[in-house]
Amino acid sequence: MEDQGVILTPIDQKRNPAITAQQIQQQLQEKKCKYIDEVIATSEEIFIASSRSKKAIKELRAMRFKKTSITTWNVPVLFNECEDWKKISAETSITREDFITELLQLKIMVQMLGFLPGFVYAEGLTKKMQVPRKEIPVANRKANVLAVGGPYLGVYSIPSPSGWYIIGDIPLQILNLDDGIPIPFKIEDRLVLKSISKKDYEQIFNKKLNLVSYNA
Amino acid sequence: MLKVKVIKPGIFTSVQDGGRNGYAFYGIPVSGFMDRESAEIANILVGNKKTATLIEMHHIGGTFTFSEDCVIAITGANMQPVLNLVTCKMYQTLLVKKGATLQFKNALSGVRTYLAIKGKWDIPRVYGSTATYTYAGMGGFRGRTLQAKDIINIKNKMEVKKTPTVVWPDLINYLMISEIEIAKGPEFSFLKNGEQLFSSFKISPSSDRMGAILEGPIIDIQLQDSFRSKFLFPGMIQCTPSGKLIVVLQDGQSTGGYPRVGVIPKHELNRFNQLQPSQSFELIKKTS
Repeated sequence: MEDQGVILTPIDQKRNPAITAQQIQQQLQEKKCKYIDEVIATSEEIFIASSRSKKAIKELRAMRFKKTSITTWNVPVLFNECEDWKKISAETSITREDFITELLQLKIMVQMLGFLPGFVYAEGLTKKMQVPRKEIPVANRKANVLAVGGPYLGVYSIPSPSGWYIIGDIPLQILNLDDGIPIPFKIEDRLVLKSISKKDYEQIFNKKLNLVSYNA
Repeated sequence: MLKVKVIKPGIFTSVQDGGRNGYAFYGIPVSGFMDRESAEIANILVGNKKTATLIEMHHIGGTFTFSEDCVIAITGANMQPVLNLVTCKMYQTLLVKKGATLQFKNALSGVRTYLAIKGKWDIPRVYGSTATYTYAGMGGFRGRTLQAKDIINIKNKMEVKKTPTVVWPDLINYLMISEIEIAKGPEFSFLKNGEQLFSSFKISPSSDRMGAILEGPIIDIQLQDSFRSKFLFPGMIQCTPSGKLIVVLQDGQSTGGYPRVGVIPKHELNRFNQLQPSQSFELIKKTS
């Protein structure tokens, strides 16, 4: 793997490494990096893709980071009644209704981005609400859906194969591939979920809002 | 302005380039050439920049017409190219006359064929690249694979008489590939029997630019409940809880929750991406 890049393991375990990765990403987008091709953050490590790892580390050491702000986002969700709920209930012994009630009371925070364009990993699920990922991914044909998988809540902004359980639809466009920043969520942003009816969903959807305009 | 018209698109023909770097943090994959080596040779042969935009075809190629004289090169899988009803050679520069028709059929050897055309392609850059990423409908020709009647415009400054015929000396018979070298992945130790990884496999026909599912022995893996999503890049081999191996490819995800038990190095990934679904191969230990 040495020819592909370098893995950074954070010394400070209390700090989410994705915060640092987000700051490196900012430098990448501002074209301040010569030897770093990519930065990928997960909750335990940062991967720096580079064909010249030593130079990339030197470049990292010289970086000065700006502080990032935290935003609270209201996210409306139409909870579905699909087959995935049976598995969730079987794994957690919590009914769909109770699961949703608990979910709406949780403090949910963006843990990291990545996986697919516009995908968000959020933490906050209690241990008893966590469901192991599917053994074999299946096709998810919808964009802007809320899902659970392992310790995370996730948002799929585009259709893709999914090893997670899809639990609801979000009537907002989350991914924006026209601007510099593809997704408005930042690491440690807060999500406040709100359960909406089918009628509410259609009303919001028909307004063609995105996450930013809905929260404005 | 050269106009290249798609008469038949083939089954997954797209515009690609050297890829889109710098956005994996947001889950935007590198995309680009599946067989970088073949694509770069095609571009070199026509005199374009190595990472320039070209057409990539999968399994069954398309049919194209050309509105002006131009210089092309075809590399990668042998899709039996025919120029104006005459079989044409691969791995060399070819002069194409105005009005000519270039046809490709099914791949006899390999999977991905590259068609480079000399000139500056009129394809907008999205996040610094013209590579098509169909899952998000971004890049390339309107974010999708090419379809019949599509027209690609290419600024084609060339002097036909002065263009030499260049022949690339090293041809690869992809059907002869029987081994793919891999390195151990970060979670190799999760395997109950590591030697199982070094077995014979085939690529599932349901594979795509995002990932290749390997058909072969079911791998015994010890999963950890606390395992969290980790970074991925093209070439990483994940093992699902059911013991299936999935190789992350150019349009693949940047993070994933399955253990990464192996890694196909960059140079081997070019060869791997030319393996046909019916073709058996062994995963072998990287020697250096």
